[in-house]
Amino acid sequence: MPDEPFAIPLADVLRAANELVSAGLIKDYALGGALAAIYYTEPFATYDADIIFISSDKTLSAGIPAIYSHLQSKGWHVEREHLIIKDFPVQFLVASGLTEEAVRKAKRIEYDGVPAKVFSPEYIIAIAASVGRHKDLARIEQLMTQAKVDRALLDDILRRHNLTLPKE
Amino acid sequence: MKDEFRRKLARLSFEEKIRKVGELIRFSRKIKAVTDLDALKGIPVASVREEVHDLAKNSKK
Repeated sequence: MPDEPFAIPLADVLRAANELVSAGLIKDYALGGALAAIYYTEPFATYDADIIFISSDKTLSAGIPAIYSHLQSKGWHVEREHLIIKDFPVQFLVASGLTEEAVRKAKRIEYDGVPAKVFSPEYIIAIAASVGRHKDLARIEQLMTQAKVDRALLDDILRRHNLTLPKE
Repeated sequence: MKDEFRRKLARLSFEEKIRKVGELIRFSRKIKAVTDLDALKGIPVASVREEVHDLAKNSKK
């Protein structure tokens, strides 16, 4: 069996998200989900990237058709709920409430020379607490033990969004 | 020891961590392809063992 190398095209994903901002199709975005957690923790397997964006379009569709059409014109294709680039699935998710706040307060980074934003560990933990699946609880534990978490900030976010951490 | 190793991995650059996630994806796709292919013939244990050995060796680099 041929040994095909595979590289996550994260720089392409972030570049595309920056283009969406420049084109006015979205206001702002940040990397969320597992890849955001990996920014702060050991690497672990994940099969897609989550881009959480603040929409420029306040209608019900949140401008998603225009976003899809823009990315498809750049060679991306759609497969169920994902947009695919270089064999890697990406989800574009509309921010609201806690996730919108997470985008606004996201950490600015540079990935392979591409400027981007990634959720801070405190917001990743709060979002995981709000979702509460088994993998979210594991993510909280991983971040609490491996990342530098501002406990006062985390407590403030949890309190304002009426959330609690497991075993609290 | 294990916890210290995990913390050490957490301190790698983001680019390096993403490269390692890519390796994990490649490996899991390969395992899936091998098991799909051999579903009716039995799993080729020797080949899978070799892959695991290679992955372990490469992750130490």
